[in-house]
Amino acid sequence: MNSALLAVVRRDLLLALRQRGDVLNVLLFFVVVVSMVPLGVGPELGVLRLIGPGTVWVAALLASIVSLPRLFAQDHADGSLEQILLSGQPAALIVIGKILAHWLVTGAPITVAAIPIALMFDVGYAPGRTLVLSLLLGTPALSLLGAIGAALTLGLRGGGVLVTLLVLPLTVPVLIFGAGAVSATAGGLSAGPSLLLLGGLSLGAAALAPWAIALALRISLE
Amino acid sequence: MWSSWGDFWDMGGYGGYIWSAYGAVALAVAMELLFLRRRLRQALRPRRAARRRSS
Amino acid sequence: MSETAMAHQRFHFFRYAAPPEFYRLAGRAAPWFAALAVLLGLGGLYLGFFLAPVDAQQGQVYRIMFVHVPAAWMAMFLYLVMAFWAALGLIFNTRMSAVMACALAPSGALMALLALLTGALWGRPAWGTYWDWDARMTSTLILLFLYMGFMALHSAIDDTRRADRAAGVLALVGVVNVPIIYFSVQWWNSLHQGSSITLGRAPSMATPMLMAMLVMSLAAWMYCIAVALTRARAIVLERERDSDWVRALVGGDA
Repeated sequence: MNSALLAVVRRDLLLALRQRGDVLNVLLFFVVVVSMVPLGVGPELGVLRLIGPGTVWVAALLASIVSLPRLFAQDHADGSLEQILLSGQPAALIVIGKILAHWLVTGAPITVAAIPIALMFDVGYAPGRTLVLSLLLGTPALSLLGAIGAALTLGLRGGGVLVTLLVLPLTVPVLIFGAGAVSATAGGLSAGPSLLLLGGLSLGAAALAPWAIALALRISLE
Repeated sequence: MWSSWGDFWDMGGYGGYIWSAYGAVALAVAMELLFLRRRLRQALRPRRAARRRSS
Repeated sequence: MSETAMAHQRFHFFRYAAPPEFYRLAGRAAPWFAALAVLLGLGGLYLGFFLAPVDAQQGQVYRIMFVHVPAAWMAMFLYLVMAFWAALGLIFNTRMSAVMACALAPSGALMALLALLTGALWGRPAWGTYWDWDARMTSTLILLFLYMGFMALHSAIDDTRRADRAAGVLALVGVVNVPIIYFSVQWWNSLHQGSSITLGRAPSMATPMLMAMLVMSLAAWMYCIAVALTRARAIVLERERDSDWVRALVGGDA
């Protein structure tokens, strides 16, 4: 069972490696979106410090949704998704493998990219550290929730907009606790409770989402 | 309880807010019922063409 | 079912899972619920406007509560019911369950929208702003998004069966999320308010106020049932339009 998981992860990572451009684009999207906000609200650092964490988090939300096509849609388009699901391995396992690979090329780079961005928003050392930690704990949940949306909308013409509409409301708790953790640190309070809740959300999503996703895939592929 | 109808509509100065709120509810209900009735009527209308063809 | 089996069971729930049976039953039931809704509504309004006293803090404007609270409760409640029917549809593969879920969604969305609207109109005179991102209103807004997502997903899928099932999964995912969302929004609101406690939103309730609110909530519930049943009938007719029983019903050239 472990080797099947590793095989799926390795396959998806290899594909991502070959499509480096796509992966980089998601990261670029994240950075560009974040950079838009100061242009919209003005360069005053006091304001940016306040809205920085929330902005980074919203951009992370959007970036993780924008990157979803590579999760299922690509494989679905050339028929390989059905093949993989027919391989006899439990669908939930395959799903976990794909999401893990997906997170490694989207959530993880976003977490790292948040470091220079935290500097751009003059967030400060401790809040910046909390920001990175919150992203590390929260982006898996984003990938998992996004995967549900991606599986449900497989092959539909509505495309990215529909997925965004479906997924964003579900990610509200992640956003709240993620940005809230950073605000707590910035305010001198402990970010512990928020981060714990965040981790709990990711764990809970990891436990429950794969079943929903497997079901959604089955529904979409029938 | 109300000394006059005028007082009732005025609602202590808040009449605008209160009656807008209730008006919105009444409007929403009316529209929902209207649309629903139309939908039912449409569904019950006999389709003249396309008896064997699927539309 | 064999004759003997049917004879042994006077009431079989799944009988109403057949579209023509449901159509008939819903058609007979809906007017009763509608009548109840009207009676309760009139009663509630009378209670609310002629028996409930003025509020010490908010004056007369608190009376918006008599539509705001029922709308908010129904928005919440209907989502649970919708998810229930979606679950039934997924588990038992019954078409009518999915139809009920689809019939409930627009009603729920409308209730959420009304809750937001009336809440804003209550907020402005009572607390100074039309919208102040408090926990309950924000949660209701997200609930509205969830409803719209359900309807958007369903209408984006051409194949009815896939649409029912996909939207059903979405509803279930949503229903699991709703308590988490409510909790997190509550926390978010308290965090950004600092340590001050929100001034009690609802006035301390005198009995006529409470009674009016409950009666209006019941009225809203009856109304929603009547509307959902009727909408479900329309959906059934639309989906089954090529079947014999609908053809017979509609008559004419069809």
